Amino acid sequence: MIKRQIKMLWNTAKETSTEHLISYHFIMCLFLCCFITAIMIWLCSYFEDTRNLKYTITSTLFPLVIIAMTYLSIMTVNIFSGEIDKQTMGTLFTLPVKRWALYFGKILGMILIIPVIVIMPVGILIFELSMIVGYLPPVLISIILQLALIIMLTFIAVISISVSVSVILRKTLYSATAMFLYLMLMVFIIPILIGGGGPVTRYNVDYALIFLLPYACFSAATVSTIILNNVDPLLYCLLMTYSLIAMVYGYFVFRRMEV
Amino acid sequence: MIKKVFTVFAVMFLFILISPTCVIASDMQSQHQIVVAMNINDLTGDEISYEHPANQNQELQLSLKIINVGTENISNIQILIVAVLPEYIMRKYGNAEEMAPPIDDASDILNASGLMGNAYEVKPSRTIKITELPQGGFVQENLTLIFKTAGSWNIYTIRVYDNGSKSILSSETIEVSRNLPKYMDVINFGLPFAFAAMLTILAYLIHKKRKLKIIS
Repeated sequence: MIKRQIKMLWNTAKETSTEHLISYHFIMCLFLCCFITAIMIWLCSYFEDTRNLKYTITSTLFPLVIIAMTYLSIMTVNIFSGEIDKQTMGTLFTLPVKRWALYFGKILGMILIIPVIVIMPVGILIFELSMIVGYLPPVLISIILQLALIIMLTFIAVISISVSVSVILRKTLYSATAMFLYLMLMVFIIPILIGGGGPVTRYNVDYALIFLLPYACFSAATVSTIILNNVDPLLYCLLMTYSLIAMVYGYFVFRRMEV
Repeated sequence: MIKKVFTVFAVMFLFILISPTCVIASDMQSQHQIVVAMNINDLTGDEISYEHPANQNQELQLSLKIINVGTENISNIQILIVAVLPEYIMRKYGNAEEMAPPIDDASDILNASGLMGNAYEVKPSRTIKITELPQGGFVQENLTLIFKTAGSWNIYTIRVYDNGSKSILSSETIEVSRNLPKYMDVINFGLPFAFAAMLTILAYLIHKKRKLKIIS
């Protein structure tokens, strides 16, 4: 029985991810991410006076994260609230598939598209940087990979909270508005929390403050790489805990949902 | 005492005159005094500077003059030549308001240099060993430096003592220019479009295949 449900979960995940991967809006998002990365590298190569590659990398990744985060939250809201709005969720509930399989299958489907969104721009970043600056020191490659991992975790956290919000608010309009406000809050609250602007000279983060803001965790990770040459391991834990709490909370709401 | 001070100043002044990018530092850790004069230029003899940066993978000549300006003979001198990109040096800051302290910890530099991998090469070796340096004597060493990564490199000479402690003797900064060929812009802006076109074609083909599958 469990085996069958797990198969159902995997099928749901596969269908959700395939549906997104071959959609034209996903390609548009991917193109935007790659294009922004290319523009940022171009700007940093020609106009930025600083020769600090770590600043180049982090300043390149910020717009990429904002674009992808917005896209993923819209899509996640669409696959939950959208289905409730269109009354198709009721049809799904009549199928011989458990709610947990359906719920986690859809989330897994969204999570599976994250590596594609991250790998392509990061690949472009590494390729172009190696063309411009020559040999990339191992520490720089390690920094880029660690940041890629933290970006993936940030996206998982955003997907989790989007799922929770959409199953609580149900209506697409409400969920999308709430997520938009949340994202705006995250993006604009960062300079206050991290003390952005000007050269970064120390890494001293208040974990309790940034716990509810995945984007702040990413921002703290960039500061950590600039100061410590490494991403603070606590940030991985913070993002995973946040994702888990949001996912489980959403599941408890979804389990008792009546359509 | 006055004679000693004069000797030190005379030698320092001499090397400032003979070398345009000469850096001199005194090793004050022990009673012995070592002065290292460092000069970096390309193989044609042109000085490497901010205005005239080196290219990636270009062979540069590093000339070192190690002079004993102390009052005793020194034996078993071991000097390391390390290069680092300063942004990878992890420094301990007190608080945000404090100014960045100068880099004076040799172990921090060695740690950062370890992170560089093969980004630079020193030929024939990164270590210079001198068995005996008499009072007032000097040793001239010519090494070849190759930088594979663009950036503002700091080159340090670090003395390793018999007890394992280390101290910085001298440092020099050189610029290695970025590689920005004319076709770079084309690659830079062409890549995202190429990817998008490729993915669109792929998505179109998959959509078509799916439709055919549903119809059949």
